[in-house]
Amino acid sequence: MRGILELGGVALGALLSENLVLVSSMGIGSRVRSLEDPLDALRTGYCLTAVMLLGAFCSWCLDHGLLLRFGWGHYRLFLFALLIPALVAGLRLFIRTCLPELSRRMDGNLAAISTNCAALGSALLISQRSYGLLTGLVFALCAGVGVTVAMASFASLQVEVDLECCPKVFRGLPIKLITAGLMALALVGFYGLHLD
Amino acid sequence: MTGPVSLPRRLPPQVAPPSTTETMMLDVMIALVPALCMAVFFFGVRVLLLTAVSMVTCVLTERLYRRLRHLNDTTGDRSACVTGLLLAMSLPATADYWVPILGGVFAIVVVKQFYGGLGKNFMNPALGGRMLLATFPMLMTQWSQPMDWLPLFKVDAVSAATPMSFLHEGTLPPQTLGQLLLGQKGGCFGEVSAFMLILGGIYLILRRVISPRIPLSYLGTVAVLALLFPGEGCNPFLWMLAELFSGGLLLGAFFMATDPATSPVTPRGQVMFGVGCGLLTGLLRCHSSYPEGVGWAILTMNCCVWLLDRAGLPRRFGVSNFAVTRALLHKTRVSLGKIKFVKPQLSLLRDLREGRMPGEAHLDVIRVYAKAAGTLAAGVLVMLGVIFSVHRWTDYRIVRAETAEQQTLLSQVMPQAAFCSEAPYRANGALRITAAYSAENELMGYCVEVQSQGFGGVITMEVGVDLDGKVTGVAVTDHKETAGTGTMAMTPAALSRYIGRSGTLRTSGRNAVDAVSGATATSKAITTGVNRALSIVANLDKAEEIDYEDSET
Amino acid sequence: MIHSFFGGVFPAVQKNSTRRKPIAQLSRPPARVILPMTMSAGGCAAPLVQVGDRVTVGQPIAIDAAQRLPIHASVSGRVADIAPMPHPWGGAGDAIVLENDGLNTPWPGRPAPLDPETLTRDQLLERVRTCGVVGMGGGAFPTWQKLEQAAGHIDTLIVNAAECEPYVTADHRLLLERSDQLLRGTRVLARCLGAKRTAIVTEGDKLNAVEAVERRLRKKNSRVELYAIRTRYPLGAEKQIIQTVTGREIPTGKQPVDVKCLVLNVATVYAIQEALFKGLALTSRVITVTGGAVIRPRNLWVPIGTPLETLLEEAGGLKEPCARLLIGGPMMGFAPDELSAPAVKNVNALVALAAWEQQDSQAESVCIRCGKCVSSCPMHLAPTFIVQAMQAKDVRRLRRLHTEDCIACGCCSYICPARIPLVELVALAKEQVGKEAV
Repeated sequence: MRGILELGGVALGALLSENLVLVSSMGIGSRVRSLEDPLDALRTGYCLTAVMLLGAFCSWCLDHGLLLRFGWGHYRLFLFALLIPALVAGLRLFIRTCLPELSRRMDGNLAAISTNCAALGSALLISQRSYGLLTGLVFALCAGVGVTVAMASFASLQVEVDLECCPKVFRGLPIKLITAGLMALALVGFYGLHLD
Repeated sequence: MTGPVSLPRRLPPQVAPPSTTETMMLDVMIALVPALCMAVFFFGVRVLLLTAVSMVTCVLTERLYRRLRHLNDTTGDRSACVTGLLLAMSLPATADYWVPILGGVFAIVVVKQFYGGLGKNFMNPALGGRMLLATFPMLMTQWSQPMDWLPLFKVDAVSAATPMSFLHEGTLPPQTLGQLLLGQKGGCFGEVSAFMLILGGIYLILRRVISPRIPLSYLGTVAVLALLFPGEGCNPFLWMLAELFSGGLLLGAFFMATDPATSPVTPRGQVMFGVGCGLLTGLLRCHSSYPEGVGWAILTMNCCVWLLDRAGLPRRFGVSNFAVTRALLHKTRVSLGKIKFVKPQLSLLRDLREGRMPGEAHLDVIRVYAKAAGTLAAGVLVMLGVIFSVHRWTDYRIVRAETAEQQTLLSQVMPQAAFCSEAPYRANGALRITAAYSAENELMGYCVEVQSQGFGGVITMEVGVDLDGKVTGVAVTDHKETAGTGTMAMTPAALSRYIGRSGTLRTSGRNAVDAVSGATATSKAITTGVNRALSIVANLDKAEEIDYEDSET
Repeated sequence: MIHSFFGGVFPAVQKNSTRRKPIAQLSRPPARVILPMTMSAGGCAAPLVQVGDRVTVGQPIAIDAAQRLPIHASVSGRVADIAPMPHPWGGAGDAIVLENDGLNTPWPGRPAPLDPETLTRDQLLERVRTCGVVGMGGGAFPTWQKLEQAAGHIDTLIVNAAECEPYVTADHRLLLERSDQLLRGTRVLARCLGAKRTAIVTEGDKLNAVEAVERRLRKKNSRVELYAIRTRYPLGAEKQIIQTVTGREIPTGKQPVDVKCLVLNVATVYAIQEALFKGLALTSRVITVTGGAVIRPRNLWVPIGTPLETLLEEAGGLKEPCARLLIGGPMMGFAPDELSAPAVKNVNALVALAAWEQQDSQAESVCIRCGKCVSSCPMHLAPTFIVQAMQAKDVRRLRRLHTEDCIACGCCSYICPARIPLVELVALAKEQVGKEAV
């Protein structure tokens, strides 16, 4: 029971109180179209979730199999930074050869997230907090879902809401940042959320 | 002979609509008047002045903004007045006069006008302003007691417990249901009088200003959650009523969540919005650091309204209920079915089968790849080498610094010990257990590193427990508390109160360590951590018995 | 068993001034009667008489070859002119002008009454056609074609006496005063068309009409069901009344006969039974003349073709300036161009609204996204989204929002607190989608 509550707490945290996009400010380095078109944002979110899951698994194995066993913890950041883009490149190659239809739809999104800091960030967070494999995977999954929902919400808001009504100084990037800030304000109430 | 005359073009309805925007806003203000009167009765005339300041600020800000931007003046539709009134009613009666001014300006300018004014904002302006103020740590935690009329100026800060804080602990509040209903309790002055708010809500529903869907689904979800998960040992029905009448739930359900611009337009979407708000409120009330979750829940759902509108569109006339869903599923299935697995051509095997050496025909391609791979490998090796050498060079210093830090921590936590070493015990909840020895190699006690949930996140602390089961010192190594308020509970003076305690520490009564004012959650977290450390040490599996009795204080 | 339709609004009923007034004859027969060649939707008749001919009441004086529908003289007298005259539906069309001699001589060649027990379907259709019956509830579609389409294919016949428009009481008084004839006509129609279920729908506040009809139903022990449903606009619309009585919804582009129902206005049923059992052609109908600007609001038996100004005189004239003169009710009515235009077969009311009754012309303001239009649309549309998509010129979204379902009932415009003209904007959006599809 305690284990389930702990998993639940980690999941809720990754989803709400530490939402990677809105609270921890990771994962916003995608191409501009992902943040403006809701469908594209959703696709980028799915790709990112898949990459985060895969990255969490591989980095956890690397961490516990190699780095902690031999005490090479100081190589961790460098190796993860090599591992994640290599994973994405390998995934793209695999999809391109074996699932050409999927590649046609998702290749652009995958290319854009090969250096997305959310993937590297979630792997690092998992190893810094010493999560187990299951907890780490749950964390990566929920963080990915949180990123998807946040990016899709933001993109839809841009479509729905007219962002040109503000003073000229604020048009363009500033009002988008203000909108993202207002969305992040809504999540302040979830800081420190825990299940016990 | 002229041709046929076509059927005439019909006119739009020639009778006046039953309500206009202005009359709707006026109705909202009328519905809030009883609650305001009750607030004046309980808290004094200061309430009226706060409300006046808030409303005047909002109206003036909107007028000024529209004039500076050369747009038409929209204060005539009375929505700025309503924003000011709602913002004021969600403040505690002890708030200073600059608080509604700041909240009002933020609400009108940033949350409402930057997106185009009435009907175009995606977030409730009054709630946005209120929640901005809630992020100020000390502002929203000064509650005064009812019937304690406050002077107009120079209010002394008194922190009294509201029913919400009792519910957050898991116990029923001390006030009777009648008192809760009428409003004789602490809290924001607009939300105390549950009865008057319900009257106002019924008035709005009868006048068809709001539809009953959102309030009923919101309150219904919170009631169901409260019935299912009451506090320990509490009657579920009483718990449910206490939850419904305390905090800003009624104000939020009837007045904030039903704001037309920021709630869904479609009927089903509205029900989903209410249910979502209720679920989030229930989650936040039980498990978050803030005792009150209504505002955050409504704000979070405001960001999802776009989705609820789409999902809640009424079904097409003449088409069955799930036809759209079925069509969507079908489309997805067809779309996913197009993705087929293609077996890759592994040229290596093909070459071998044809009797050629692998790579013969691809030497050029391999050469290009090899060049790139070689450069990459060279770079990686160089980086690895750099890291290795830096690590080698600094390793010793790092270890020395770590040991020094360990020593400082030890001196804080168990001053009578000289050095410590890792103990072979493992316990659930302890990050690390070290045994501390005196200069004569005598076991003095154990230092345990534990974690507990603070206000903003996890607090990691090191607690030293000697062999009598008494605390020798507490040191906080990592936290996410707010600087200035939460950290007041982590000063050496505050932490030194734990020295010499043993057993189970409580927050009040016997064997208590009082919470530092303004940092209740942090103090409770540190106390929880110390308790955890004490119980871990007492339950270590070894020969000597360590006492686990409450200390005499 | 009664179902319900989604949405709808509750405009103020405003029927007290004429509800209790029995249908009266005109105090003075009209001096002239104008019979336009277009009396049915899409029809255009050719005259059978010439200037100077003498005609009698019920004599066919024009015939529409395409629809095979004759137009009959509603008064006896002399043909004064055949020329373009103002048409109440707007513009002008050819019309036969009759000078009334006040004698009301019936046409000697009128057909014989038929026996209700032995009436066959073909006899019904032929008689309905030769007596010129069209839909009198507003559509003006040739009734014989509607009956022919429906014959044998329906299981429910609905007589629509649910006058949901404010101010209008013509159908109510007709139901109250001529219940016997209406019941007889309904039963015969049901038998000939093969309908297993017959329902008369009236609004719940017409209690005296309901009691009267119920008494007769009990006396005759018939299987006709009478439903008195609470007043909710637009109960009288075809799709909504079918949904209320049978629970079936007509998909877009389909007709009532596709869900095995037939809806007839109560005045049409009265005209059908007059044609069957008395051989009388459709030459007069009940019209309510009312409104705050009229001195003596009343219900009148009006010969078809009476000029509208005669009706206003009959009601005593205007006591204050009329802000808006409407044919039909205030929700879906239309304004005639000329007061000299005649009352044709689908005119059921003439409403003269005074300035204090009419919508004050305050400017429209911004949409506050209150959602009242979505909650009140009986066709399950979302007018606010349609307007948004139209202004953004997003045709893909407009297609997904099904603008073609709109029946232009006006519920959304009525309820909008920001006074946005939603009906007109949705019509514009329909045009936009139509243009893109081409």
